[in-house]
Formats: sequence, structure tokens, C-alpha cells
Amino acid sequence: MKDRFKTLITFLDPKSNIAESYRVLRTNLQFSSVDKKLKTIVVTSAAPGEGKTTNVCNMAVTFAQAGNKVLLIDGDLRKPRIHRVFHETTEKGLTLAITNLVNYKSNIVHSEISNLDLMLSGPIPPNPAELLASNNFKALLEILEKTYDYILIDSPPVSPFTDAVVMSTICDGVILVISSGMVDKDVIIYSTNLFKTVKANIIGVLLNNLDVKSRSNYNYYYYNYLYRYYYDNDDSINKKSKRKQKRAAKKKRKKTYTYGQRGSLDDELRKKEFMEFLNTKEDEESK
Amino acid sequence: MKYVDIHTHILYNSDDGSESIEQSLEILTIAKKHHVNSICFTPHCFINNPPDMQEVIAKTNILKEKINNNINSNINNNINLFYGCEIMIEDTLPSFIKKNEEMCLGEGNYVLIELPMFNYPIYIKEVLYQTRLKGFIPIIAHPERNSHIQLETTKHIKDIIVNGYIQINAGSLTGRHGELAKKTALKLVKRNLVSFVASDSHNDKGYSHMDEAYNIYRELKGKEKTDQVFFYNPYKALKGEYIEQVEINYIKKKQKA
Ligand SMILES: [Fe+2]
Repeated sequence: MKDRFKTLITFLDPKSNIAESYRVLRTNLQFSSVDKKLKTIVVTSAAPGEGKTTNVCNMAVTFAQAGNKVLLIDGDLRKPRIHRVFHETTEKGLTLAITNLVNYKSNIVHSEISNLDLMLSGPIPPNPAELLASNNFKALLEILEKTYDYILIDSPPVSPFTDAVVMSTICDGVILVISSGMVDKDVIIYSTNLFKTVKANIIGVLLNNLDVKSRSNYNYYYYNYLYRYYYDNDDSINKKSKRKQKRAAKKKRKKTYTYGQRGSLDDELRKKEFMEFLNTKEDEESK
Repeated sequence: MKYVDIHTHILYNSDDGSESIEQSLEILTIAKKHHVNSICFTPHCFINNPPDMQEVIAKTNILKEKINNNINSNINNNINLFYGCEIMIEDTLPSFIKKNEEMCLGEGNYVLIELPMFNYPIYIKEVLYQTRLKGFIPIIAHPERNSHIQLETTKHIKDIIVNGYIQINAGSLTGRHGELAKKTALKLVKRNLVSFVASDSHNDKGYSHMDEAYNIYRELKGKEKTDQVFFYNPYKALKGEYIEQVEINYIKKKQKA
């Protein structure tokens, strides 16, 4: 069992620091959606290899462990990987469900983790973006939303493919996974701008592979953590990036940094919530 | 090591392969000497001129009987015979195979698909996808012999591996099909894109390449992976079991800044 699910750290070791940070992520998501419940969430990254699949799988496990009925969809029709993580060997999946809506149920498998169902990719279409933009996909999500509390969708990276952007327009929110120090900041800005142009709701950025030694202030996050940035007006992305850039140059550290986008809640409230969250964590650490 | 051969033309009077029942039995004897454990007969099939499957089944049963009774043959009775078809790609292939399920290899739902030698079918992606949607799993026979794939391997092979598996010929690895085919086959092996190696034998010479190809493969990839493509994967295909797909890598594009 342990060997089979080596990437599902939340399942193997729910008490670990890593699992803890996934739980923080879960509660943050719940808090960030008071007025409207976030049900369908697309998880993507700017460039390939930043750890989307590992993160989306662990998120799904964490959500399911909290008693939510969760469906994890492999929407990465360029390079599906979820079947490898869960060792599923079915040929069925998303594309079959989209092309044959009536039989959508036969394309869902129950995972070995309770409350967590999977919809794998299915056959890979020649034109994934087109299929994901179809009305059938929209209809499928509407049907699924009735059965599940959360639907998490893995997707291809944004900078080479538009699939995630297409999906974001019919989903409630987007989470961007960013591998610390791996991707140039311009690529990240390019990606977030893509989502902004289609008015998608970026609910957060997940910072992966953070080098904990060089960031002593944050070392309790250990592995990854939902990093939110709050700002006062729409131009602030550039301001912040310049400030960040200077700081980064000063410290002679890696280029990458993160930011999120203002959501539906009042800014002051969010700021307060964020600061409280930081404080409590620091208190815990000092004990 | 034993072999499972999913691609042969040694069913008598079915195509350009074996011409008589005696020749078929002789080839089976040779196959046995080369440690072939199971054989799938795959006569050529053109969608506008398909072989009579009832006849293929009948002939397979006759050969099975002959072997089991050891009549006119000195083959031990432990060589397993299956039948299927090697279907030339055509845009109508998905609906065709749905109507002719007995053309799948052995007892499973894998379909052996042939590409033209000197043309590249631009609809291949769509055909493989539609085949999968209909519940069948494509295996592309000897892509290393297609002249377009030989010239632009990386570009074309991506169309195949997203929904299909690759079978290369033992003869390609040993150089029987020429230098370009050999080079392409080795390239595919080195990138771990190959799922099956088969003989594609039309006559008694087909099996002389098997051991040599096995050794070449083992030299490159080690015993475990070699047994996978010569024995376990072909066996699973005949039984219709799941075979692990090869790793797909993202198409490299310049990142926009
Ligand atoms: Fe052939």
C-alpha cells in the first residue's frame, strides 16, 4: 500500500507537516468563499513540471478526508498522469463522458480513499481545447456539481496550452501551482494575465518546492502553502512586482515570487484574516 | 526466454504470406525451435477488401488440431494459436472495427493497424482517438518502416503514442528492413516508446531474427524491459489486459514572455 501511493503523502502520513499545509489550504479555500461556494476548481501551473498533479491529488485527498464528497478529474488531456498516481488501469474517463453524457457514470471510478472518486482522462482527443470548450463539457460539470461537494480538475500548464484558461471560464476558480525558483516571473505574469482577460477567478497561488532554509520566517510551511497577496487597486500588480524584484535583487535570490488576485471578499477583511492566520502560526512556532 | 508473437502472416492462403498448410506447419515448427510460446495470425486487411474471418477462424482451428494431434508435424503441443487482422489505416477504421470485433488480436480489444509505407495519413490522430472512443485499443504495426516517420520521428510519433501503442519488427532491429528502419527502430527503443516487438514473418525466415533482436534490445534496455516487450505485453494484448502506456512529454514550444 505504502509503495503504491508514494506521491499521496496526505493519505500515507496525515500528521506530517506537508499534510498540515494541505489542510491549511483547504480551510483557506473555505474561508475565501463565504458568499459563493467554490465547487469546481481548476488546478494549473505556468509551465510544465511545477507539481500540479501531485498537488491536486493531495488536495483531493485532504478535501475527502474532511468528509467532503470529492471528484478528481484528469483534465490534462495532453499528458494525463492521475491514473499513475492512483494506479488505475481503466480506459474510461473524461473524454468518453463528454462524448457520451448519458453514460457519464460509467466513466467514474471509486478510489481506495473514501469519499474520493476519480474521473481519468480517457482517450486523448486531437483537439483537447476544443472538446473542453464544448457545451457538453459544461453540461457534464453541471450534472456532476449536483453529486459532489468539490470537483478538482487537473489541467495542462498555461504557457504552452490554452486548455486551463478555457476550463477556467466555466469553473468557479483557478489555483495556480508555482514551483519556487523554477519559472521566470514574466511567464507567471503572462499566465495570470491570460486568466484575467477571460475574467476567471484566481482564488490562490500555491507555492511549491519553497527553499525553506533561505526563508527562515516561513519555515513552518515546510513544503508548500497557499500564499495570498492583497492589494488596493488593479494597477498594483506591477507595483508589487517591482518591489518584489528589488527585494529579490537585494537578497540575490531566485527570481520567482507569487501573488494572488483579489477575490470577492472585502479587502480589509481579507487582510485581517491573513494577518491573523500568520500570527497564529507564528505563535505556534514560538511555543 | 519465450516469445509471444502478435504479428505474423503465416496463416496459409490468407495473404502474401504462407502458401500452403504444409508451409504453415513447417513455420510453426521453426517458431517452436525459437521458443515462440504463442502466435497470433494477422492476415492483411483492407477495409474495402477484408478477409473472410470465418475462413481465418476455420484455418486457425485446423492448425490447432493438427498441432494438438501431432499429425504431419513434430511440434510439441504447447504452442498457442490466436487470430486477428492487420488492418490498413483508413478514415473509416473506427466504425469498421466496431462492426468486425473478431478482427481484434486474440481474445482482447487490441487492434493491429498498419500504416502505408510511403505516405503519412494526416487523419491518424483522429482515427486513433475515435477507435479508442469506440472501446478498442490501437497498436501501430512497424511505424519504423514508414518513410515519413523515418525522416521526422519525433514530430509524427507523438500522434501515435497519445492513444496507441507501438509494435516494431524484430527484423527492423537487426537491419533486415534497411538502415533507416534500423536507425528509427533503435531511436524508438532508446526513448522507451516501444510496447511490442513482433516477427511480422511471411515465411520461414522470420524467426531467425528473433533471438538477435532480443539480444540487441537487452543490450540497450536490460532484461526486464526486453521481456516486457517480447513476452508480457504481447501476452496481455492477446488477453485484452491493461498495458502501461508510454510516457508522453509535452510538445516543446517557446514560452511566451
Ligand atoms: Fe505485417
